[in-house]
Amino acid sequence: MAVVNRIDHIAIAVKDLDAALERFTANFDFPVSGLGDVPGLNIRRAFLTIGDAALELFQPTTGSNPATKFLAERGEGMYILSLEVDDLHAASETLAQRGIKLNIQNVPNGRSLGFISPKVTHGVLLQLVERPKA
Amino acid sequence: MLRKIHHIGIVVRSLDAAYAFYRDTLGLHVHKEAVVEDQGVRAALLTIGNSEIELLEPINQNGGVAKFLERRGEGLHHICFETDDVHAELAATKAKGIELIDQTPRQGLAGMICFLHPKANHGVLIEYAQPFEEQ
Repeated sequence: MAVVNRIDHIAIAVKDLDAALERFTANFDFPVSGLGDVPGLNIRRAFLTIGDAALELFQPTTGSNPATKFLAERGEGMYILSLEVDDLHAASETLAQRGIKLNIQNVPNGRSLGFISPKVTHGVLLQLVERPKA
Repeated sequence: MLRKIHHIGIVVRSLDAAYAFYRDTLGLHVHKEAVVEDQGVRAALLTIGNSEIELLEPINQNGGVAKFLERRGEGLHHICFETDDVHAELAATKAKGIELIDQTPRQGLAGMICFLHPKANHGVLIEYAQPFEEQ
């Protein structure tokens, strides 16, 4: 039984959100949603929907966001792979039984996200997200 | 029309080592594994929902994947969008003046595929794939 259900989104770090949004919209014509600042995360972002997943374009708004270092060292590009789980705490327990630690972090809006070390995931910043049930 | 994410490509040093996490820990099913000579890789597709995760291990020093691994290490490599007509999609992309890597579609693990230039998409390597008909 897989721990994860589907690809939720891929976060792409960019230096100029407006320029990137214009470019991606011109190239692919995916519907845009959620454009705006996320003060608690120090980013400005927008989502582009493709099938049951999304691309998140985001621009750090302060130097304290870890993606600022990524942008300085490696340039723009794919930054996080986010996978959906049914239940973050159940996923954490299953992973723990398999010897892997899920780092659960509280984020704005009372939500939590799980992260697995890139050392375990072969270089991928992997995020697990639980979506509200319909 | 681009319908969904077909797969996310991840470059790894060793496919077998990467299976320990993606197959055994996350529990994803290995749908397909093959050597793709012209990309210089041994590659596997692992099913996740309606999409896949593609693990890419270089098998020689020549391909783009080997160069990526040497320069940047293991990690996220590309995003592949699924289309039902890769020739039409590539022609439309070319008509928009978007920079390409492949001028014509070629055979890949996922089907008939082509790559756009990362310069055209803020550093993101994007692939289109028209899957093979499967029994």
